[in-house]
Amino acid sequence: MTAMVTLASPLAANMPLTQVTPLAFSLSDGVQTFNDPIFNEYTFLFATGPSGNITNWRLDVSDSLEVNGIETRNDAFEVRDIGVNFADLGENFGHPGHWRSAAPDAGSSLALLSLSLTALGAAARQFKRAAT
Amino acid sequence: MKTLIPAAIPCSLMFTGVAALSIVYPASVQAVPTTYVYTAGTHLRLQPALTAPAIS
Repeated sequence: MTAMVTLASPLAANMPLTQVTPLAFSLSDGVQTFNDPIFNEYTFLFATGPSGNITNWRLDVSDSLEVNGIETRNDAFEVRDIGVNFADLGENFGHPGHWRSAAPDAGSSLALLSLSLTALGAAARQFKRAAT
Repeated sequence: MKTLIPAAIPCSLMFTGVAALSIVYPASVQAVPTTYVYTAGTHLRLQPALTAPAIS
């Protein structure tokens, strides 16, 4: 199972299990994919640790009839990934996966920093040349 | 020295402008959309849906 959830801003640090409203999402169990915030039923909750990393979660998404769905959960009650699709299901109990942040601002910040350092270097060179 | 001072003026103006913008719009940095990616564990078991627990 894989999941991608885009939020309007990074999750706060030390957040208890809290329901969030995503800007976009995509959950796939390898058989089916849910990514429609209008026609899919969904509930997303996250909890974070001191550095803002996701420590506990509960994501539940299904079709409008709530017949087929995907759930990933790691909270005080249960640890499981499960996908239900008509006649079959895939499940994974007691082996939580891991979350990573793919923050788009990290790359642009680094690019801005390197650009600023390059500009400072060029300016320093100009000053040195002007002084001699 | 004569060329140094005119060159320093636009430079300091530029840095002052950037500093002012960072003070005026500090919250916009925090509001950048962030994507979280989940990769499940590999212990997967398949079974017929007849015995499947309902997704609550």
